[in-house]
Amino acid sequence: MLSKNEVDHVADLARLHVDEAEYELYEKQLYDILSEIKKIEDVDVEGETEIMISPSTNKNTYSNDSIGPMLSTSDVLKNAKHTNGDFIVVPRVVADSEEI
Amino acid sequence: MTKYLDLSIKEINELLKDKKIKPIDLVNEAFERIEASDLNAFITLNKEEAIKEALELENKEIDNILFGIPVAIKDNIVTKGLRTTAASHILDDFNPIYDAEVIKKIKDKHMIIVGKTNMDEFAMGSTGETSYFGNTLNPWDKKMVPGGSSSGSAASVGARLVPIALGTDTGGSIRQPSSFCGVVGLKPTYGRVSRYGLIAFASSLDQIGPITRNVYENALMLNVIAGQDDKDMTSSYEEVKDYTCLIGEDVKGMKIAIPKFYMSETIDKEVRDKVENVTKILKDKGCTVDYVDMKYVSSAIPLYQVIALGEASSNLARYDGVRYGYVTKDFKDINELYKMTRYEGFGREVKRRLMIGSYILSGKNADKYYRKALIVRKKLTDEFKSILSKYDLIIGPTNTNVAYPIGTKLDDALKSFYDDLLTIPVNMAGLPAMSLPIGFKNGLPVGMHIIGNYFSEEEIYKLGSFVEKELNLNLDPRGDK
Repeated sequence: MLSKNEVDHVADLARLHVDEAEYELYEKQLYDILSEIKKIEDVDVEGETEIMISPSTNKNTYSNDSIGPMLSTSDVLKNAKHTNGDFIVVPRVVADSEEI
Repeated sequence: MTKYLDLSIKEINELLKDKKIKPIDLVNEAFERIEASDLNAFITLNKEEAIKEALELENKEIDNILFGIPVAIKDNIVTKGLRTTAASHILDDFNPIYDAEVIKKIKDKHMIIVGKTNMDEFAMGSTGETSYFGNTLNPWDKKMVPGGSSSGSAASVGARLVPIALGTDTGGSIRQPSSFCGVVGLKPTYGRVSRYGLIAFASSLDQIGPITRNVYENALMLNVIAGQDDKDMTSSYEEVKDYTCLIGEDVKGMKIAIPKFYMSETIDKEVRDKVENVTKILKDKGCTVDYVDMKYVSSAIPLYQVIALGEASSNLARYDGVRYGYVTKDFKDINELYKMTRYEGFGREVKRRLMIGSYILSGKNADKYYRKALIVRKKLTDEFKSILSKYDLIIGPTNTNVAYPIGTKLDDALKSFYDDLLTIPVNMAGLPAMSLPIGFKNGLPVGMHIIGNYFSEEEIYKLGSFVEKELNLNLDPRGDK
């Protein structure tokens, strides 16, 4: 079982609130999954060190540095819930100087 | 009720060319069927637009075999102006402002999109039950799960609501439901089909592919969606073939491998027997069929959990309640906006996976789990490559068993991963693979896996069409119609 603190930690990493009633379930379920995941440590890779990030064999390509068609501001803002003119409104992310 | 949609694509195309029917007849019939169905296979219908398009097609020249054919799209593929939810509350009012590359290709061929199909939320699940919009039912038995995550796409083709659907496959999400619903589903080679406009789950595993009633029509659909796309940097420059080119060719002399792991005790006996039956047919026809050892396939589940969930935690960080999607009502600062939006917007399966994924990539765990998993992935892929250097194809069961009752695995955090035991290794290596119906157990379809070499989908279709013809199964769940 995971502790309540550990559940809080992983939930915080994933930017998720956890309801009081959910702790018990997550403590067990996350423990179960992590126990399964730990099996990866025991896999014998026979000294292999090379990693595989993606099956793609594409070489790095660069796109032309030219201006192409762009999305309109109204399209971009269409799905945002809080807007003001051409801007998306979010809660303040920097504190007042006296609060620092 | 008309029954044009029971005909093959070829026959429908002939009728259209002879002007005996019009695209609107097909669209009307598709909606009659969808509206009469209680499978909950669709999240959003595109009726008004589909009818409009069908009428417009009456003035257009029939320039290809899929002209006017109704198609259903999994709801994690974005469609301009048509709601796209990924079956999540967090996107339940999301209206995309562009079309995915595959949608553009479908529209270029004048196929008609009838709606967006139900699925596991963000493609996370193997039963269709994690959808915010309720689970889809299996057309063969409504008490059973249809499989997932492309639950609605497989069920709608299985039930003959539409002839073709698109699904997506990250760990088995096309093949597993195709197997449970008795349809043909192909996960193409990684990079064969553009992922531009596919709502990302695990970017190094995700691939879009066709779900159809038979092998030939599957190849026709791959012909439409395959191809390089500058907007997806992992999409391949490998030449696109006519994927129907080997259908009907003699299979004599084909070399086929069966990994012993795929036929071990973990797999249901009756399912193994069905595969054995096919093996016998293939040997009789002059194929070589050998059992082979694979060491790393047995690590598929933890491997998938590390890689898929790690990538998912990064991809799903974008759902912050700021630019699109659901936003919580009450928040006092930015952190609470994020946390409450995500808490209220995501379902439990998704939240569980995001917590695990974030944990795996944090601090020292990245080396301990993620890096190690990437090494195992390399070893597993090398193992596949080595087998495919000696054999044309690999076969085995798609699943450990047939469809099971709804509710069986819903609250078990681990069991749903085990459904993908045999399909996950293929995504890790990026190989193409099909699920093909090869029989029934207690009236429920059994699927066989055909795994091919990179960019050799035509070989899979060759063997698949041969087996399909030999078995000649009745794959219509409506009985005598």
